Amino acid sequence: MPEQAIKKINALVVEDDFDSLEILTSILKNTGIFECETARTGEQAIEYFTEHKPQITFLDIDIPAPDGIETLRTIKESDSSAKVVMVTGCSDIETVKKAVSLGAFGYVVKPFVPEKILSLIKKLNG
Amino acid sequence: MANNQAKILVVDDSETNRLMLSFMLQELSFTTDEVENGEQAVEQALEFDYAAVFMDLNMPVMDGLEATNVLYNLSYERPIFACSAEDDPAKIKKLLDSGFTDFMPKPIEPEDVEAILQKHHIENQSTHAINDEAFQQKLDQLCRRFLRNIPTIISKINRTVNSDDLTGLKRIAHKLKGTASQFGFDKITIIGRDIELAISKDKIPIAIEKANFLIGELEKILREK
Repeated sequence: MPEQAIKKINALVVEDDFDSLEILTSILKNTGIFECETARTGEQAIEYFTEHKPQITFLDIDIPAPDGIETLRTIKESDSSAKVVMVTGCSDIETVKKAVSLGAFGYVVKPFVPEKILSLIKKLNG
Repeated sequence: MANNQAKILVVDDSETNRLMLSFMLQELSFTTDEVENGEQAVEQALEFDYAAVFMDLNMPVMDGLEATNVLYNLSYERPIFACSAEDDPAKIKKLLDSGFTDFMPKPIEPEDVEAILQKHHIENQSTHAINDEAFQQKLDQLCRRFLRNIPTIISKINRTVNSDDLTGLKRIAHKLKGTASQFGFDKITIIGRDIELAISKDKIPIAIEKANFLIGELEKILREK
């Protein structure tokens, strides 16, 4: 498929860890269908989200000020249809339940497996 | 990465049922993991990459329907099969409407297992993603940088331990937890997680002990490099 024919999907990646940020954005960019913006803190994420309304947000839970769960809450309050994928190093059930109750769209546990992220992306439009 | 046997998650509170289903799946050349309630199923399914999940319904802690709901809400991308002795079509339909991909009658027969896997095109070899090469290159580049940084990381850990700088130690542990497993150093991720947890719970002697262990493991990586 010719790349220029597709309007790229605007994704926001929120990660305070530089390596994780690089790995995830590289998976997304390799698909050829994403444009990635990045943020390092919850505050930056909320600011970017409010202004640009990205079509999908990958949000690390262990970020500073405010953390990922609080950032998810704020984003969903401002736009209940926002698609937010939580990213974390651990699948502890209490955090998973909290993410679901706040309306997270997906839950990715590190290390990143490109295939899992790609199948999640396929669910974006239906 | 070719020739990876695909893995299936078996969820049932009865050990006999788990062993039987695992045996049938292994006969079909799948590998299996087993867990015994819905909470474990959710954690495990999110953490690893399964080709499919066979989920019992009546289980303690969290039942199969609730677990499937959680996964469904998180856009879980793999098929989840409800394993149940239920024979009321209306109730079966309700299960399928609430997130299960398909229904697997109990007692489970080998033919049924094979049929349901075929129906959903689940193959016993896991396939790998497109663009693997570009991803791999990126990963190799970051991994080389990580290896180069190990001596600096070790001296930073030493410094934080010697000066009782727990915030600093926690920060290092957090960072290692986040990326080491991506480069194949799972042990480092686990120790990093342990240190972070120990410091959060104010278990300082444990954190220090683990920090020394972490240094040992990092030195080992350097030696084997």
